[in-house]
Amino acid sequence: MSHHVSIKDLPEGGEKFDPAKASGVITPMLGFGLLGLFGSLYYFAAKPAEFAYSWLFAFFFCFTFVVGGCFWILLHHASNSSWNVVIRRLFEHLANMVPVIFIFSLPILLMPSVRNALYEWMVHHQAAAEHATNGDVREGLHHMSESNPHMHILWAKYGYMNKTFWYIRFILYFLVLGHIARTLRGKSLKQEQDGDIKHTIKSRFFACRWLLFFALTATFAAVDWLMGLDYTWFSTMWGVYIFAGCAWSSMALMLLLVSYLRSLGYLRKVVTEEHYHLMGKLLFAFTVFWAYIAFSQYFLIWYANITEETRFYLLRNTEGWRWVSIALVIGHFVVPFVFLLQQQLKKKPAFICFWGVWVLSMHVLDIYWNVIPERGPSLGIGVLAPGAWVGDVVALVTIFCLSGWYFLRSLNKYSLYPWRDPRLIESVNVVN
Amino acid sequence: MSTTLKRVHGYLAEFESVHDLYHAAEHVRDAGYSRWDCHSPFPIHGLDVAMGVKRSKLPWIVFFGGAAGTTTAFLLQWITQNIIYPTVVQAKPTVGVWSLPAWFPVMFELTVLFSAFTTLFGLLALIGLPRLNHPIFASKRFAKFSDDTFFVCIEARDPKFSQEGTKSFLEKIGGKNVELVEDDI
Amino acid sequence: MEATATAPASSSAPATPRILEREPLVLNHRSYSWITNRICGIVENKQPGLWWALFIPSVILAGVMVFCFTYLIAAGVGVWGQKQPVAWAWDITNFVFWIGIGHAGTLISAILFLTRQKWRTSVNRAAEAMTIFAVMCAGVYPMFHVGRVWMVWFLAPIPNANAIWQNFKSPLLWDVFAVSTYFSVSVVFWYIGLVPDLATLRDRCKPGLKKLLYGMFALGWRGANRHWSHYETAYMLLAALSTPLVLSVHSVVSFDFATSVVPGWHTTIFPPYFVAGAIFGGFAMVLTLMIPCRKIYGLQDLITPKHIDNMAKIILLTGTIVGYAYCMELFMAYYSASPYEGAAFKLRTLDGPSVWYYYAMFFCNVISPQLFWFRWARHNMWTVMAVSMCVNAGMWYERYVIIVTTLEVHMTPGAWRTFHATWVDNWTFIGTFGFFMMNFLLFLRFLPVIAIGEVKGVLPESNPHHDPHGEKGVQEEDLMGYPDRHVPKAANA
Repeated sequence: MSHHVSIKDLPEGGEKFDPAKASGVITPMLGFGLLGLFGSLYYFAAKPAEFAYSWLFAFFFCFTFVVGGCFWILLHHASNSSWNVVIRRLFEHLANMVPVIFIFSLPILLMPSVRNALYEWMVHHQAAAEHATNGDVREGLHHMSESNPHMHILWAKYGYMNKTFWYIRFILYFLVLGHIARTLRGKSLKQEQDGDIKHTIKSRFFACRWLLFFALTATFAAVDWLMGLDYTWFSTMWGVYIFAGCAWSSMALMLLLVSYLRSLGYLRKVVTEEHYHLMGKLLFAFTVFWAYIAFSQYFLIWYANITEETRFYLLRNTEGWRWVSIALVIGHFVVPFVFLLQQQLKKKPAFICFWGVWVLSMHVLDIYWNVIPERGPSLGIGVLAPGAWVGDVVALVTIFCLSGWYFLRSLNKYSLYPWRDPRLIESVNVVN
Repeated sequence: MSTTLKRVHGYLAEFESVHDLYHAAEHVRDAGYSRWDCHSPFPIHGLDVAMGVKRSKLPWIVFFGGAAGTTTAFLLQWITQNIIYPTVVQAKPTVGVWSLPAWFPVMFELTVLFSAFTTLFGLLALIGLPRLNHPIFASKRFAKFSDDTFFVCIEARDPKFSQEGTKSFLEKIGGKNVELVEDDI
Repeated sequence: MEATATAPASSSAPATPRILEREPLVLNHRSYSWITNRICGIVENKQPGLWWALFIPSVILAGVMVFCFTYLIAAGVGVWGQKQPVAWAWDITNFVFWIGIGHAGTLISAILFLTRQKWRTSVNRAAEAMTIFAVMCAGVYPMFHVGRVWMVWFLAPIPNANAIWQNFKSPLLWDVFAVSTYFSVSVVFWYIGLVPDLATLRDRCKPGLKKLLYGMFALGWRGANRHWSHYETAYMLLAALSTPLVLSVHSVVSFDFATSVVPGWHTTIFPPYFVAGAIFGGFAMVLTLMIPCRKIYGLQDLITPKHIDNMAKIILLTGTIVGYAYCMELFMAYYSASPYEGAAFKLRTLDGPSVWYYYAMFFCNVISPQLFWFRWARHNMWTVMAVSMCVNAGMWYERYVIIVTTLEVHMTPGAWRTFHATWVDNWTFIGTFGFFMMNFLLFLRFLPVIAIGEVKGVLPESNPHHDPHGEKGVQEEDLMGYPDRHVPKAANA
């Protein structure tokens, strides 16, 4: 039983991060990021279609952390909980990476060569516009469906799947997430200024109201960017599936981040082994939740065996992708499940950090498995598109390292934990 | 039944609050007693540490109970679906392991079922209940353990137990109404 | 550090509070023995007249249920209203309805335990009892729906004279395993939780038959910490087992529908959607039972407005999740551009024969809980009861919409037929309510309705490190100046 910590034991003004201390990580991140950026520019110029998939994969991977960050702060406030006050500021920063991630999404938003390589329906829409008498896409699709029945699908869902609405939604997702992240961090920072407890309560009201919009944002972003890769495929579970991965991976990232900051000498007074245990438990919970959702989705499609739906899994359960699927079942669920099951081990930072790294690598694999199998068939370059994996790595390094560099550098602006939060003491002394 | 022969079970001391009990437990632990226990109407957080009680081994027992459940379910389905009574239904592979996803629900349920019953019986085995009687119930005051009173009982079987020393020790650490519990043989 | 160094000693609060305190879970500073007396008093004293006024009709209705099933055995399943194409009707609707109600009990006892929601202690016992009785009500429907109920043992994988084995690829068989496991584990969980409280009842009884029975079931419990240590581990393990179990049970129930190729049934979101719906409906039932209970038995200090408030919020949350699922279904029916999916949902929502059920469902489950956005609605017992009733009904409508209205307008329009319930359908369903209420009232009569030991454990003084002189904070109610905030009475004996 550790000593009870009171307000007097904690420094006034919290702890400020000094980026110079972390230069061992920040500088290489910038270096790798810039190298990657040159590589990416080359690939965008040389192989835009192939690289579009790499970029989407890398962008979406990093996007999931923003979604996860938003989720954890929303959940923290909405559930009126206290244990995670000490790590909330870091989640707030993670969520506030929205503008950075938005910059990395720009190639998808703005470059027609990228968009058209990813989303076949956009190509069809272009053809339809040329086909129609007065450029009316809908009418063109209707005509085209006489020779190609697939176009009927595009005609039927034109109200949702059209470019204008797609642009609007694209922007809207970032606005919603950005608004959530900015407001909650804003209230938290304001409390640091004036010490008013009411900010905590108002944050809760805000979080409750915005949870639904958050859920819709995460769902439709997943629908537009990933499900849209194959316009014929659909699954009602999709949003929940992607969300499960977001929450899981961002918790793993947080474990690593907290451990890194502790190794530099920060957060030592406020983050205890109990917090590791709690974070480990949530990591475990979402391991199981992801498995539950992933299994249910696979299982129902496998069992019913309806042609409209099976394409997604046919693609991923054949050729080389079959082994990736099996690796996901084992690596994404079975192995972390068995190891994270043990209570005492979750209190050991070194142990839990190992699983943090494991979880992140499995999350990479998960997103990879979701995005990349579409590339070969869509571009007609064979199932595995030999050699294209280099581009995938380049894109991942670019986006992850550059946003990581920005993230760590910007940590120094505010205290690492909300030092005037009225539940800070409850959080520091948490026992579970 | 009224016999003059009695067996000493141990000393029972009352404490008024959780706080007192907790500190008393720390003292008894530090004094090196081994056969003693605290009695309280509800579980007290951290008292295991104060008493020096080790973590329960129950999770390990349950883990193997659960594994037995998974295995049972798998074998049950494997044997009936593949060997004894293969049926061509649901357009799924009849023989072999590739109907495995369809077996998961039963595998899961039996894992939980076996684990739950292992938990129940493992718990009873570990705590040695049910039993018909216990010498400590000979104390009339002890009935209040399930209401609002906290007790420490140091048993006579403890090698450090002594009729005088233990009593004064319990009084010193704040025990009230220290009572020698004896039951009929 | 300078600022705090000049502040007065920690025993007196600083000018502006720096700590946001949690609401007390037991009001008016009640003592341990007050809690024991109040809860055991329910069992020990004579029951109020209202208890009898409810119990007698419940027994009669339970008898009606028995009669209906007897008649069904004598005459055949045809006495229920289902005919092709509606082969599953009220029986499966009611099965899913009842089993769903049970889920709130497990949520409170297991999931809220794992998430360390201490307020659960005041309601978990009754909710778990409710779970068990609801699962019993659920179980009878598929049992009789098999037609020849005396052959129901064929569901169990035991060798039989025909050398037939079950089809383990069938969702209906998974149901058998899921529901029976759920029932068994819920009983174990409930019983383990009861043991210390049975000991309390035992210790308060005069010698006699009652003491003998309570004593037998209390297993000789003596509150020893070496026992508590294993006991708490066991409780945690059961909670950790029940949490995925409760998810799996309603997921398996949803598989009954979702593994099929029926438009409107086959959709991948069914498992979590059913689970959320079950918890949603179950909480409504918990509130329906506990609000009168706390009033009749004077348990307002133990089941406080804060408890009701929390449960109302869970209803709001799960109701919104259910609403999300409804909307996702509609959206995907549109997005899939599948003519069958589209037609199924069009018939369900626009021009089918049972459209009003859909809107009744939507109103009860999605619209009515939105009232809980307002604090006054969560704190007024009448509005809470009204919304809970709406949700109870709405969750029944939901199952009816999914099961019956989908089958009414299945693939071949020539075979369409609207379902009409018969009197046996009606009275069997009403009868299960009687059976449920009868069991619940007997539970109130003979067992402690609130987990005595657990409630004592969440009092502040039950924490050995509780510091009564620590820095005082402020409670949200006072800080925000809510008009109906609780003002504690002076401590009384």
